[in-house]
Amino acid sequence: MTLRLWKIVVYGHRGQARIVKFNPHGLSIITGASKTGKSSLIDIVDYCTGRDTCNVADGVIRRAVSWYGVLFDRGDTRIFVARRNPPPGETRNPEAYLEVGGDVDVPDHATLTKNITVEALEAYLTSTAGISENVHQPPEGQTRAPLTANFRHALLFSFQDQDEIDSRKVLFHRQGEPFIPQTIKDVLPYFLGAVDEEHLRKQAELDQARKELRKLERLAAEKEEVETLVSSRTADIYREAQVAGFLPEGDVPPPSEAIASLRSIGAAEAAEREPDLDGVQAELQTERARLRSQLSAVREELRQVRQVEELAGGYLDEVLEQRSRLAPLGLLPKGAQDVNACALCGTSLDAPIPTVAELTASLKDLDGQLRTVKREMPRLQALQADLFQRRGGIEAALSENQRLINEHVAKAEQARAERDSRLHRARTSGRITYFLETVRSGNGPSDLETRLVAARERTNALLSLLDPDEVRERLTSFVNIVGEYMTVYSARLDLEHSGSRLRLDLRNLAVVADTPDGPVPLQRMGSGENWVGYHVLAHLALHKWFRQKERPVPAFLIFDQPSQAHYPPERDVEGNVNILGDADREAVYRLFRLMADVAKELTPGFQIIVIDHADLKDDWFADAVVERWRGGQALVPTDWLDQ
Amino acid sequence: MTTQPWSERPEEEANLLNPAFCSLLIRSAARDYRSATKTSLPFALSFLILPVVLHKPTRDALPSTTATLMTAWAVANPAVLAGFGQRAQRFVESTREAILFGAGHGWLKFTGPGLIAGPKRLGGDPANLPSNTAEVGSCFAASRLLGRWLASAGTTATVMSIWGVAP
Repeated sequence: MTLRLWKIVVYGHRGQARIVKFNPHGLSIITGASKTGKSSLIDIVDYCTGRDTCNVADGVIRRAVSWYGVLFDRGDTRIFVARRNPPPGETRNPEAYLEVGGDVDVPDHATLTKNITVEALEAYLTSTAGISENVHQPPEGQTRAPLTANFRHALLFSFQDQDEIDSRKVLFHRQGEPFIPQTIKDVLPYFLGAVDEEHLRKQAELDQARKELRKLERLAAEKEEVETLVSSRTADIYREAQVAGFLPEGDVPPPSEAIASLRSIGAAEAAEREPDLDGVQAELQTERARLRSQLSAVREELRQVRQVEELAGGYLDEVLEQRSRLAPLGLLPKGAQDVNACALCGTSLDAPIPTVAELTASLKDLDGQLRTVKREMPRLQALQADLFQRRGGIEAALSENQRLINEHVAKAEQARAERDSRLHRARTSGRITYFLETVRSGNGPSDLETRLVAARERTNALLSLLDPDEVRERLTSFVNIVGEYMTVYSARLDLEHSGSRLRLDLRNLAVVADTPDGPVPLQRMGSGENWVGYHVLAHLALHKWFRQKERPVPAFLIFDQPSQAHYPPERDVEGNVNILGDADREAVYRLFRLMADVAKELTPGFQIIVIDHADLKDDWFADAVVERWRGGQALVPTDWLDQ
Repeated sequence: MTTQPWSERPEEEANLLNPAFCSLLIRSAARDYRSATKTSLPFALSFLILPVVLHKPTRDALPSTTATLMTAWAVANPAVLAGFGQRAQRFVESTREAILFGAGHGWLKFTGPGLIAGPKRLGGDPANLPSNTAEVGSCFAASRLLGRWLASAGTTATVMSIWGVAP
C-alpha cells in the first residue's frame, strides 16, 4: 500500500482554506479555463513533498496563499504535509508541518507551525512510502557519488506537466534539468524492483566476509612458507637439543615426530617455571576485559536491532512487511466502553470522577486516531552495517591482544630462562621455543582449511547476490514487460507507429518503436499528438508495473493537459470539444478513455489525475470531474485578494 | 492491575523507579510543557516521559536544545527509536503509580484531559535535594527539555506515531 493523493489545500492569509479533493481511486479530472491555477497543482505537490524551491508561478496564487498543504492516504495511515509559501520574490522557505494519524484531515490554519525540517520531511516520506534503504554504486571508473533513491526520486515518475507531456526530447518529469537524467537512470533499477531490498545489509556482510577471507588466505600462505622452512630447520634444532642433553642420542626422526619431541621439552621446561605476571601483563589483561565488555555491548545492540526487525515480520520478508504495528501501551482499561473504568488505576469506580471520564474519553479519541496507523521500520540496515564493522574491529583487537599476551608470556619465560644458571640449556630451550613458536604461528588455526573453504563459499554466495550482471538481467526483463504493456495499450490510440513493438530505452530515457524499417526513437517521430500519446503510454505502463510489483512509487499519476495537441488552450470554448474536427475530437476521446480504463484496471489503490481544458459530455467523464474551474471558479477564490 | 507491594520489589528497581522520583520527573516535564503551550500535558504523552528520561542511551541521545525538531531527530536516531515501544510498555505501571503518587501529594494535578504541576513542591522546581547526584540532575534536565520539546512537536497522535506507540 503506498501513498495516494487525497486532498490538496491552499490557505489564505486570513486563515481561509480552499480544498481540492480527489477521487480515492481511479480517474479524477480537473477541467477549466486558462489561468485558474490548474498547473500549479503539480508544483504544490512537488513543493510540499520537499522540493527545494517553490515553483508555483508568480501571480494570484503566490500573493494570496500563506501555506500549501497535501493530504496523503496510505490506506492504514493518513499523512498531512504543509509548507509555507515563500514571500514574494523568494523561492524557498524552511517552515514545514507534518501531521500523522489514522483519520487525520486537513487541519486548521492556526495549527500550522514548523514541526519538521524539509530534510526530515523528505526522509519521513521516503520511509513512509516504503522505500527501503538502498544505494546505487556507480560502476567503477565513474566519478559520481553513490546515490540513494528517495521519495523525491519516486515522484519523478508521477508527474507530467504541460511542457513535458508533449516534449519530443524529455520523457520524464524534470528530465530536462541538469543531472536529472543520470539520476533517473540510477534510481530506476531500484524502483522497478531489479535491486535487492537487502542490498545494503548484504554489501556490509560481503565486506566483512572478504576481510575474513583475506585474513585466512594470508594465514594459509604463511603456513605454506613455514612448512618448507620447517623440514630443513627441524633437523638442526633437534641436534642442538641433543647436544644440550634435552633429548637422547640417536638419528633424527622425521620432522613431525621431531617437532613432537621438541614440544615435549618446551612443555616440561614451561612447567618448571612460574608465570611472570608483571605490569605489562596486567595491562594486557585489563585491555582484554575492556574489549570483551565492548564486544558484548555491540552484540547486545545487534541482538536488539534484530529483535525489532523480527517483531516487524522478519527482515527477510518483502519490503511491505517492513512495517509494524504501533506498540500498544495498554493505557485504556480493559472494556473501555465502561465509563466507570479508571484510566489511571485500571480499576472500576463506583461513581465516575469527571476527570477520569475525560481522560478515558481523550484516550479513546487518540486510540481511534492511531488504531490503524502502522509504523515504519526504523532504518536499521545502515546501523547494522556499522555494528558489524565495530564488532569486526573489536574481534580483531581481541585476537591481537591474545597474540600479545602469548608473546609476552613467552618473553617472560625466556627472560627467566636467561637468568637461570644453566645458561646454555636455557638458550637452547629459548631457541627451541622460538622455533616452535614459528612453527605454531605458521600452523594457524587447526581448521584453517575448512574455514578457508567456508569463507570462500560465503563470499561467492554474497557476491552472486550482489552481482551487477544479475541486476542488469532482471532490469532488462522487467523493462521488456513494461514495453509489452505499452504495446498493448498503444492499440487503443491511433498513433503514427501503432502496431509496432514499443519499448523503453533506459540508456536514452526515451520511448522507441521497433518498426520494419528499424527502431524509431520518440525524438524522430513527428507531431505533438504522437509525443503526448507515447508519454501517456509510457507512464501508464510503468505504473501498471509499479502496482503489480507493489513498488514504493506513489500510486498516483498527474497529467497536465494531455489534450493540448488536439485541443490547444487558445481554441478552448467552455471545454466543448465539438468545435473540433472529427479526427481531433475522436483522438481526445480515445486518450481520455484509455486513461479512464487503465485507472479502473489498476483500481483499487491507484489514481490518475488529469488537468485539462477539455470537458467531455459523456457520463464516465462527468463522473470523474472533481472540479470545474470556469466562470470565476479557480483554485484561489477571487475574494481572497480583497482587503 | 497488580502493583507489587513496595517491600516485595527488587531493591534496585524499587529505588530507581520509586514513585516519588518518577512523579517529580513527570511534574517537571508537565511544568515546562505548560509554560510553552499554556495547556496541560496530555495524559497519553505523560507515559513517554519515564521511558525517555530513565533509559540512559535515550536520554544521552536527546538534543541539547528544543530547536532540534523532534521529527528530524527521530529520523536521525533509528537506534534509539528501535526498541522504544517495548521499553515504553515496561514503564507504564511505573508511570501510573507515579501519577497517582504525585496527585496524592499535590505535586501533580489533573485538569481536563491532562496533567499540570500541582500547587505543592519538594525543595524547589525541579526538586533540588542534597541527595541529588549528577545523574539525577541530568534526569531532571532531560524531563524539562522533553516537556518543552513535546510542546512544539505536533498533535499527540503525530508524536505517538513518531515514537511508535499507541495508547
